[in-house]
Amino acid sequence: MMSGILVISEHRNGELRPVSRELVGAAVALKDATGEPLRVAVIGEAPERYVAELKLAGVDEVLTVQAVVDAFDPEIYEASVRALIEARQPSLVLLAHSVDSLGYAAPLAVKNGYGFATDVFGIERDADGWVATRAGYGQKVNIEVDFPGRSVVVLTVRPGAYKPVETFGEPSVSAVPAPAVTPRSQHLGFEEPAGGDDVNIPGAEFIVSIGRGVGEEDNVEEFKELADSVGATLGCSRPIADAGWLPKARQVGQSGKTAAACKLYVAMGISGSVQHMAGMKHVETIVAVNTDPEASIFTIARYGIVGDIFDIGRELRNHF
Amino acid sequence: MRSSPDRSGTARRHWRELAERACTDEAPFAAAALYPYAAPRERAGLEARMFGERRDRLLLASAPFVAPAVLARLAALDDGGAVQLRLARNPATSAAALGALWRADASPRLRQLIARHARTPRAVLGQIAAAAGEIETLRALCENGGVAAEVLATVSERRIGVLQRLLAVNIATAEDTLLALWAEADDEAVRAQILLHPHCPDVLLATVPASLLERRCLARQQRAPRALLAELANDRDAAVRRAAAENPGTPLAALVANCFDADATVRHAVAARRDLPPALAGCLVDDADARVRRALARNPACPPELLVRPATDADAEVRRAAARHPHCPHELLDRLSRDEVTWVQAAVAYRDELPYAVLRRLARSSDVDVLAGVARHPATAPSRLARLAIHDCPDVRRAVILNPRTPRMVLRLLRQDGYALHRAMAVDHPRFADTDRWRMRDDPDVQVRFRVFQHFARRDAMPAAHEASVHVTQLSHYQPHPPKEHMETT
Repeated sequence: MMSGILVISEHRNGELRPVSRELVGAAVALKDATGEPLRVAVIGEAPERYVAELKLAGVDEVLTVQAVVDAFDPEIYEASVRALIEARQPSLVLLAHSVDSLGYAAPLAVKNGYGFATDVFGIERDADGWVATRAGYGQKVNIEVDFPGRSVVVLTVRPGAYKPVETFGEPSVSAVPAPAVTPRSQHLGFEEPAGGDDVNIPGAEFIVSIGRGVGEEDNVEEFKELADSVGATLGCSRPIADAGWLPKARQVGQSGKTAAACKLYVAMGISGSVQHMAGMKHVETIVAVNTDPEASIFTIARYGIVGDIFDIGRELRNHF
Repeated sequence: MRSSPDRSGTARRHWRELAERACTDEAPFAAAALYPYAAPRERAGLEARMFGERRDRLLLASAPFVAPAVLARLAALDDGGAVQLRLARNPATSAAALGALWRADASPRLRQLIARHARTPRAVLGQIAAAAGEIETLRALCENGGVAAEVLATVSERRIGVLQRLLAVNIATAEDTLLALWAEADDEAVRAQILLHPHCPDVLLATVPASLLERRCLARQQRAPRALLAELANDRDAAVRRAAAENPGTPLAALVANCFDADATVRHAVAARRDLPPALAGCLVDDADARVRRALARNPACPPELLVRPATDADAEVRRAAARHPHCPHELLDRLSRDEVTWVQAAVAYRDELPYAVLRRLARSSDVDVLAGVARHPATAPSRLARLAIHDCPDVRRAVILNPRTPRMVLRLLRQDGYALHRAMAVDHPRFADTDRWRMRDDPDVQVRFRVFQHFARRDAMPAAHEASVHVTQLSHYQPHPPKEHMETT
């Protein structure tokens, strides 16, 4: 009988990725609801260097798998996660929905007959087993997926969907023997994707985003100042980036970045195209400012202001 | 629109094929693209495809890019609440269709939407203003951007307190209505809006009000007397001083002190003035606040000879602002194109007038923003555009399509771009040929097909004699941004 929750952590350039603690956050909530033990695994050339950061509250065991390289390799991860599942027999395996897991999660699930869903932002357990919630039809509906007949379910979890665990605990630490894998690829180096400035839209917790409503390039400055004064990161919709008014790195949406860690998103002069909303509609608190009371953005906003973005921006600045 | 289009042989074959495809298309949009141009005998088949399924009727009702004729037909179907609500929200719905919805037994929510719609007939709005009982419907009417002054006056005469501020905000409210509102209003927010209104009566602009909110709004009023604005430029409140400094009506002499204001936002407002004299620009060029220097550097009124300092500023955004100055000298652009920050280089790349050597150097960059600027540049060579059209980054490929001078041979490289938005934009490009568009009639993306079908339907409904001139105007009116309503589906 499979039982337990296994979290596969991620690291890059020698640092644990924040999403790993979010996965633990999701798993701790499930452990509290189901009583199943929680294990966190780390795969790397020297996995012990990440162990201290993974000794988080709620974790029962930290598992290490020594790999021949520290950088991500899909074949090493696929074989290692399979070995971990065979060693600990979990019923649920949580991976980050990231560029790494895209490289091995699907073949892992298909080759071994595991249940599988991607980009999940809700997980429950009912009488019949695990139920995952993900978006469908271009983010227009939420879909609940169950996995009848699957003893192991692998889910990739949307970054930003769960609160990270920040407190530490006293889990045991065990090493799991590494499977014999000869990587077919060689890691040469890590290069940050090209971007116009140092902005980190996926990591920003507070974003003020502008759209066509700003009218002209000179007005962008006003919102840059607003974002600076309220301590927000400035984002934008596609037309603003296409016009060269803000760097592509600040573009939110389907063709840009996802506001993954955002807690407060202020959309100014953004009507709310499906493409833009795909990058921010999951944010817990959305404030929309638009002169058109019927703008689509108001359908997902928690707070809506029908008004001129310049007036509202000016008023906001007066308070900071 | 022509009821019986006279099409040539090829056009007739094209039309027949498109009509057959539209009637079997998985989405109703292809039929909607042809419908306004179809002969009456062809419309029945298209209507069957468009309106046969409720799901499709709902889709069409909320699509702002379909022709008003389709929406008008849909409004006449008496299809129940959801479709009607979507039609009333759709900005493309015609006045006649809205009138028909109003005459039907409109629900309270539908009445609100009709009251707010910019195309609602004036007679309907007049009825609402005079007789509507629900406050939400009247509120929606006051928010209507296309309403006539007389209609708003009718609402004002009903003396409903909660509507006063909305009436004061509406740009169409007439002077006498504002005066009546002023007499009734005891809320400073309402009075402040009246002072800000472009039709604000002169009599109200004679004295400086006591309340802060009113002073802030009066300071933004362009018709306020110059002496009064000069007084407000020295107000104790920084937001009032800033508003006065931004106001083009404020005399320059009153702004000298604002150049040295303790509040950086006031200095910033002066630095951004389009009528800034060189002497004041000189006072601000070394301002301690980078935002002030940024505003000055991009201000066309800043003399080009002063740009040397912003162009070497320690703050990258100030250097970028200098690169965006419309009269930035070529030698500075050359220097800025070598800036250590690629976002500064990108500001140079997005300028239309560039020395060829600078453009060539920028084209060797690996930065996405710089390359996107090069891809949009009117002087970029077709061979370079061809390389950028197959760039890994979709933003760079999209910039190639956004360049109105991109030749057909390069656009053809993007005909099968993996990103549907790019294919849809290519269909609209003035240098794309009809033979290329025709090959895209079975594109997997519904919006791309809609644009292809719409293009041929429009073209073939157009008298041949006008085609050449239309092509010329297409080039001059090409909008580098796709229409707001574009739907991406992949």
